[in-house]
Amino acid sequence: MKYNFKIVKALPLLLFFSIVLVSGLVLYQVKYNSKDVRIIKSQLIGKNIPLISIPEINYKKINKENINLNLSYFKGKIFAVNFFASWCAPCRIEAPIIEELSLNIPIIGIAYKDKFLDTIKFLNNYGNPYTKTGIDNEGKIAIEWGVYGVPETFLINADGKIIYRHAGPLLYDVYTTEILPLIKKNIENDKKN
Amino acid sequence: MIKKINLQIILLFSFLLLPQFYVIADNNSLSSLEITNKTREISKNIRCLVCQNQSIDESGSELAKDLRVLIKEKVSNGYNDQEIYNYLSDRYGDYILLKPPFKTNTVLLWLLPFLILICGSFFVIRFFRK
Repeated sequence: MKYNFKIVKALPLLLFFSIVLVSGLVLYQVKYNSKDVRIIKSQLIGKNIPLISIPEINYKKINKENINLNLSYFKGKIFAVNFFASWCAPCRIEAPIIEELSLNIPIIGIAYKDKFLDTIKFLNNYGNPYTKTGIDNEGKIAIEWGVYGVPETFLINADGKIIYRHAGPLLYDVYTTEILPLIKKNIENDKKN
Repeated sequence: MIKKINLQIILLFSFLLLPQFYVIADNNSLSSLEITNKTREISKNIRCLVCQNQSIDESGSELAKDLRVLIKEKVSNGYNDQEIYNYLSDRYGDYILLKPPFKTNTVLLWLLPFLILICGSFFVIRFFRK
Protein backbone atom coordinates (compact mmCIF):
# COMPACT_ATOMS: atom_id res chain seq x y z
CA MET A 1 0.00 0.00 0.00
CA LYS A 2 2.80 2.38 0.93
CA TYR A 3 4.71 1.49 -2.25
CA ASN A 4 1.61 2.14 -4.31
CA PHE A 5 1.19 5.61 -2.82
CA LYS A 6 4.70 6.62 -3.88
CA ILE A 7 3.96 5.83 -7.51
CA VAL A 8 0.76 7.86 -7.34
CA LYS A 9 2.70 10.80 -5.92
CA ALA A 10 5.36 10.62 -8.60
CA LEU A 11 2.94 10.24 -11.53
CA PRO A 12 2.04 13.91 -12.04
CA LEU A 13 5.74 14.76 -12.08
CA LEU A 14 6.41 11.97 -14.58
CA LEU A 15 3.54 13.14 -16.72
CA PHE A 16 4.89 16.68 -16.63
CA PHE A 17 8.36 15.60 -17.68
CA SER A 18 7.04 13.42 -20.48
CA ILE A 19 5.05 16.36 -21.86
CA VAL A 20 8.15 18.57 -21.67
CA LEU A 21 10.19 15.89 -23.42
CA VAL A 22 7.68 15.38 -26.23
CA SER A 23 7.21 19.10 -26.90
CA GLY A 24 10.99 19.59 -26.73
CA LEU A 25 11.50 16.91 -29.36
CA VAL A 26 8.83 18.45 -31.59
CA LEU A 27 10.44 21.89 -31.30
CA TYR A 28 13.87 20.41 -32.02
CA GLN A 29 12.52 18.80 -35.18
CA VAL A 30 10.87 22.01 -36.28
CA LYS A 31 14.10 23.89 -35.78
CA TYR A 32 16.50 21.49 -37.47
CA ASN A 33 14.49 19.54 -40.01
CA SER A 34 12.80 22.38 -41.84
CA LYS A 35 14.53 25.50 -42.97
CA ASP A 36 11.93 28.00 -41.90
CA VAL A 37 8.81 27.41 -39.85
CA ARG A 38 7.09 30.34 -41.51
CA ILE A 39 7.24 28.66 -44.91
CA ILE A 40 3.94 26.95 -45.57
CA LYS A 41 4.00 23.66 -47.43
CA SER A 42 2.17 23.71 -50.73
CA GLN A 43 -1.01 21.67 -50.84
CA LEU A 44 -0.70 21.28 -54.58
CA ILE A 45 2.32 18.96 -54.64
CA GLY A 46 1.39 15.83 -56.58
CA LYS A 47 -1.76 17.45 -57.94
CA ASN A 48 -2.63 18.64 -61.43
CA ILE A 49 -2.08 22.28 -62.27
CA PRO A 50 -5.11 24.42 -61.40
CA LEU A 51 -7.63 24.74 -64.21
CA ILE A 52 -8.03 28.51 -64.01
CA SER A 53 -7.17 30.20 -67.31
CA ILE A 54 -4.31 32.69 -67.43
CA PRO A 55 -4.52 35.67 -69.78
CA GLU A 56 -1.36 35.98 -71.79
CA ILE A 57 0.56 39.14 -72.51
CA ASN A 58 2.82 39.68 -75.40
CA TYR A 59 5.66 41.65 -73.88
CA LYS A 60 7.07 42.74 -77.21
CA LYS A 61 3.96 44.43 -78.47
CA ILE A 62 1.67 46.45 -76.32
CA ASN A 63 -1.47 44.47 -76.75
CA LYS A 64 -3.96 43.58 -74.14
CA GLU A 65 -5.86 41.03 -76.13
CA ASN A 66 -7.22 38.27 -74.06
CA ILE A 67 -5.41 35.20 -75.24
CA ASN A 68 -5.24 32.52 -72.61
CA LEU A 69 -2.02 30.72 -71.83
CA ASN A 70 -2.27 27.14 -72.88
CA LEU A 71 -0.33 25.28 -70.22
CA SER A 72 -1.06 21.92 -71.79
CA TYR A 73 1.20 23.08 -74.64
CA PHE A 74 4.09 22.43 -72.27
CA LYS A 75 2.91 19.00 -71.21
CA GLY A 76 5.27 16.16 -71.96
CA LYS A 77 8.30 17.87 -70.48
CA ILE A 78 9.18 19.46 -67.18
CA PHE A 79 8.59 23.20 -66.92
CA ALA A 80 8.41 25.92 -64.31
CA VAL A 81 5.83 28.53 -63.36
CA ASN A 82 7.13 31.67 -61.69
CA PHE A 83 4.91 34.30 -60.05
CA PHE A 84 6.64 37.66 -60.12
CA ALA A 85 6.00 41.40 -60.12
CA SER A 86 8.02 44.43 -61.10
CA TRP A 87 7.27 46.05 -57.72
CA CYS A 88 8.63 43.07 -55.81
CA ALA A 89 12.21 43.51 -54.62
CA PRO A 90 12.98 39.79 -54.03
CA CYS A 91 11.94 39.16 -57.65
CA ARG A 92 14.83 41.36 -58.71
CA ILE A 93 17.14 39.39 -56.45
CA GLU A 94 16.13 36.08 -57.98
CA ALA A 95 16.19 37.37 -61.57
CA PRO A 96 19.69 35.99 -62.41
CA ILE A 97 18.77 32.53 -61.07
CA ILE A 98 15.51 32.52 -63.02
CA GLU A 99 17.55 33.48 -66.06
CA GLU A 100 19.81 30.49 -65.47
CA LEU A 101 16.86 28.18 -64.85
CA SER A 102 15.41 29.26 -68.19
CA LEU A 103 18.47 27.78 -69.91
CA ASN A 104 17.43 24.35 -68.60
CA ILE A 105 13.66 24.31 -68.77
CA PRO A 106 10.92 26.58 -70.15
CA ILE A 107 9.47 28.99 -67.58
CA ILE A 108 6.08 30.60 -67.62
CA GLY A 109 6.03 33.91 -65.83
CA ILE A 110 2.87 35.22 -64.23
CA ALA A 111 2.92 38.93 -63.43
CA TYR A 112 1.09 39.30 -60.13
CA LYS A 113 -0.88 42.53 -59.63
CA ASP A 114 1.44 44.44 -61.86
CA LYS A 115 0.91 47.32 -64.22
CA PHE A 116 1.27 46.24 -67.81
CA LEU A 117 3.92 48.81 -68.74
CA ASP A 118 5.89 48.17 -65.54
CA THR A 119 6.01 44.46 -66.32
CA ILE A 120 7.40 45.19 -69.76
CA LYS A 121 9.97 47.59 -68.33
CA PHE A 122 10.99 44.99 -65.77
CA LEU A 123 11.41 42.32 -68.43
CA ASN A 124 13.39 44.65 -70.64
CA ASN A 125 15.69 45.65 -67.81
CA TYR A 126 16.37 42.19 -66.43
CA GLY A 127 16.15 40.22 -69.63
CA ASN A 128 13.09 38.12 -70.30
CA PRO A 129 13.62 34.55 -69.11
CA TYR A 130 10.01 33.54 -69.75
CA THR A 131 8.84 31.44 -72.65
CA LYS A 132 5.37 32.87 -72.12
CA THR A 133 4.13 35.54 -69.78
CA GLY A 134 0.69 35.72 -68.22
CA ILE A 135 -1.01 38.30 -66.04
CA ASP A 136 -2.89 38.02 -62.81
CA ASN A 137 -4.34 41.44 -62.13
CA GLU A 138 -6.78 40.51 -59.39
CA GLY A 139 -4.66 37.90 -57.65
CA LYS A 140 -7.23 35.20 -58.39
CA ILE A 141 -4.85 32.95 -60.28
CA ALA A 142 -2.41 33.18 -57.39
CA ILE A 143 -5.09 32.03 -54.95
CA GLU A 144 -5.91 29.05 -57.16
CA TRP A 145 -2.23 28.12 -57.06
CA GLY A 146 -2.04 28.60 -53.29
CA VAL A 147 0.40 31.49 -53.65
CA TYR A 148 0.72 33.72 -50.59
CA GLY A 149 3.36 36.14 -51.80
CA VAL A 150 5.63 36.85 -54.74
CA PRO A 151 7.96 35.42 -55.89
CA GLU A 152 6.94 31.78 -55.91
CA THR A 153 8.26 29.12 -58.23
CA PHE A 154 6.59 25.84 -59.18
CA LEU A 155 7.98 22.86 -61.09
CA ILE A 156 5.55 20.86 -63.20
CA ASN A 157 6.44 17.41 -64.51
CA ALA A 158 5.68 15.80 -67.85
CA ASP A 159 2.29 14.56 -66.63
CA GLY A 160 1.22 18.10 -65.77
CA LYS A 161 1.51 17.50 -62.03
CA ILE A 162 3.09 19.98 -59.64
CA ILE A 163 6.14 18.39 -58.08
CA TYR A 164 7.82 21.28 -56.30
CA ARG A 165 7.13 24.73 -54.93
CA HIS A 166 9.53 27.30 -53.61
CA ALA A 167 8.18 30.37 -51.83
CA GLY A 168 10.35 33.45 -51.72
CA PRO A 169 13.30 34.42 -53.89
CA LEU A 170 15.05 31.53 -55.57
CA LEU A 171 18.61 31.63 -54.27
CA TYR A 172 21.60 29.86 -55.69
CA ASP A 173 21.86 27.13 -53.03
CA VAL A 174 18.20 26.16 -53.36
CA TYR A 175 18.63 26.16 -57.11
CA THR A 176 21.64 23.83 -57.05
CA THR A 177 20.62 21.56 -54.16
CA GLU A 178 16.89 21.19 -54.80
CA ILE A 179 15.81 22.30 -58.23
CA LEU A 180 18.60 21.08 -60.50
CA PRO A 181 18.64 17.51 -59.07
CA LEU A 182 14.85 17.35 -59.39
CA ILE A 183 15.00 18.44 -63.03
CA LYS A 184 17.73 15.88 -63.78
CA LYS A 185 15.79 13.10 -62.07
CA ASN A 186 12.64 13.91 -64.02
CA ILE A 187 14.38 14.14 -67.37
CA GLU A 188 16.01 10.75 -66.74
CA ASN A 189 12.67 9.25 -65.74
CA ASP A 190 11.04 10.58 -68.87
CA LYS A 191 13.77 9.05 -71.01
CA LYS A 192 13.18 5.65 -69.43
CA ASN A 193 9.46 5.73 -70.12
CA MET B 1 -66.61 52.30 -31.91
CA ILE B 2 -64.98 49.15 -30.59
CA LYS B 3 -65.25 47.50 -33.97
CA LYS B 4 -63.55 50.48 -35.57
CA ILE B 5 -60.64 50.30 -33.15
CA ASN B 6 -60.37 46.57 -33.73
CA LEU B 7 -60.14 47.08 -37.44
CA GLN B 8 -57.49 49.73 -36.96
CA ILE B 9 -55.48 47.42 -34.73
CA ILE B 10 -55.72 44.60 -37.23
CA LEU B 11 -54.63 46.91 -40.00
CA LEU B 12 -51.72 48.15 -37.93
CA PHE B 13 -50.55 44.63 -37.15
CA SER B 14 -50.93 43.54 -40.72
CA PHE B 15 -48.52 46.30 -41.69
CA LEU B 16 -46.11 45.01 -39.09
CA LEU B 17 -46.36 41.58 -40.66
CA LEU B 18 -45.47 42.80 -44.12
CA PRO B 19 -41.67 42.54 -43.66
CA GLN B 20 -42.17 38.94 -42.58
CA PHE B 21 -43.80 38.12 -45.87
CA TYR B 22 -41.02 39.90 -47.66
CA VAL B 23 -38.46 37.70 -45.89
CA ILE B 24 -40.36 34.56 -46.79
CA ALA B 25 -40.60 35.61 -50.42
CA ASP B 26 -36.88 36.39 -50.55
CA ASN B 27 -35.78 33.32 -48.68
CA ASN B 28 -33.44 31.92 -51.29
CA SER B 29 -31.06 34.79 -51.90
CA LEU B 30 -29.23 36.47 -49.03
CA SER B 31 -29.49 40.21 -48.54
CA SER B 32 -26.32 42.23 -48.89
CA LEU B 33 -26.19 42.71 -45.13
CA GLU B 34 -26.41 38.98 -44.57
CA ILE B 35 -23.66 38.38 -47.12
CA THR B 36 -21.43 40.92 -45.40
CA ASN B 37 -22.09 39.42 -41.97
CA LYS B 38 -21.45 35.90 -43.15
CA THR B 39 -18.29 36.92 -44.97
CA ARG B 40 -16.97 38.57 -41.81
CA GLU B 41 -17.90 35.55 -39.72
CA ILE B 42 -15.96 33.22 -42.03
CA SER B 43 -13.07 35.70 -42.39
CA LYS B 44 -12.59 35.66 -38.62
CA ASN B 45 -11.72 31.97 -38.83
CA ILE B 46 -9.21 32.32 -41.67
CA ARG B 47 -5.57 32.97 -40.94
CA CYS B 48 -3.81 35.68 -42.88
CA LEU B 49 -0.76 34.00 -44.39
CA VAL B 50 1.17 37.23 -44.67
CA CYS B 51 0.82 38.37 -41.05
CA GLN B 52 0.47 34.91 -39.69
CA ASN B 53 -1.33 35.32 -36.40
CA GLN B 54 -4.08 37.62 -37.54
CA SER B 55 -7.31 36.60 -39.14
CA ILE B 56 -8.01 37.96 -42.61
CA ASP B 57 -10.87 39.92 -41.05
CA GLU B 58 -8.36 41.99 -39.06
CA SER B 59 -5.52 42.04 -41.55
CA GLY B 60 -4.87 44.88 -43.95
CA SER B 61 -2.66 42.87 -46.31
CA GLU B 62 -3.40 42.56 -50.01
CA LEU B 63 -3.83 38.80 -49.88
CA ALA B 64 -6.28 39.11 -46.98
CA LYS B 65 -8.28 41.61 -49.00
CA ASP B 66 -8.33 39.28 -52.01
CA LEU B 67 -9.43 36.38 -49.86
CA ARG B 68 -12.22 38.46 -48.31
CA VAL B 69 -13.44 39.40 -51.79
CA LEU B 70 -13.28 35.75 -52.81
CA ILE B 71 -15.21 34.60 -49.73
CA LYS B 72 -17.85 37.26 -50.31
CA GLU B 73 -18.20 36.09 -53.89
CA LYS B 74 -18.59 32.49 -52.77
CA VAL B 75 -21.10 33.41 -50.06
CA SER B 76 -23.26 35.33 -52.52
CA ASN B 77 -23.04 32.40 -54.92
CA GLY B 78 -24.61 30.24 -52.23
CA TYR B 79 -21.59 28.25 -51.06
CA ASN B 80 -21.92 27.10 -47.46
CA ASP B 81 -19.28 27.67 -44.76
CA GLN B 82 -17.77 24.21 -44.97
CA GLU B 83 -17.39 24.40 -48.74
CA ILE B 84 -15.51 27.69 -48.39
CA TYR B 85 -13.25 26.32 -45.64
CA ASN B 86 -12.54 23.26 -47.78
CA TYR B 87 -11.80 25.40 -50.82
CA LEU B 88 -9.24 27.41 -48.87
CA SER B 89 -7.58 24.49 -47.09
CA ASP B 90 -7.31 22.62 -50.41
CA ARG B 91 -5.08 25.43 -51.62
CA TYR B 92 -3.34 26.68 -48.52
CA GLY B 93 -3.54 23.72 -46.13
CA ASP B 94 -5.23 23.39 -42.74
CA TYR B 95 -2.84 26.07 -41.53
CA ILE B 96 -5.12 28.70 -43.04
CA LEU B 97 -7.88 27.71 -40.60
CA LEU B 98 -7.36 29.40 -37.25
CA LYS B 99 -9.18 26.52 -35.59
CA PRO B 100 -7.41 23.26 -36.49
CA PRO B 101 -9.81 20.56 -37.70
CA PHE B 102 -10.20 17.31 -35.79
CA LYS B 103 -8.07 14.82 -37.76
CA THR B 104 -5.83 11.85 -37.00
CA ASN B 105 -2.77 14.09 -36.73
CA THR B 106 -4.51 16.55 -34.43
CA VAL B 107 -6.11 14.01 -32.08
CA LEU B 108 -3.45 14.64 -29.44
CA LEU B 109 -3.88 18.39 -29.75
CA TRP B 110 -7.61 18.20 -29.13
CA LEU B 111 -7.71 15.41 -26.56
CA LEU B 112 -4.64 16.08 -24.44
CA PRO B 113 -6.25 18.83 -22.32
CA PHE B 114 -9.19 16.56 -21.50
CA LEU B 115 -6.82 13.68 -20.80
CA ILE B 116 -4.83 15.82 -18.41
CA LEU B 117 -8.02 17.06 -16.77
CA ILE B 118 -9.25 13.51 -16.23
CA CYS B 119 -5.87 12.37 -14.89
CA GLY B 120 -5.61 15.41 -12.63
CA SER B 121 -9.10 15.08 -11.21
CA PHE B 122 -8.43 11.40 -10.59
CA PHE B 123 -5.40 12.27 -8.47
CA VAL B 124 -7.19 15.11 -6.68
CA ILE B 125 -10.08 12.84 -5.78
CA ARG B 126 -7.70 10.15 -4.52
CA PHE B 127 -5.73 12.69 -2.51
CA PHE B 128 -8.76 14.08 -0.72
CA ARG B 129 -10.25 10.68 -0.02
CA LYS B 130 -7.19 9.89 2.04
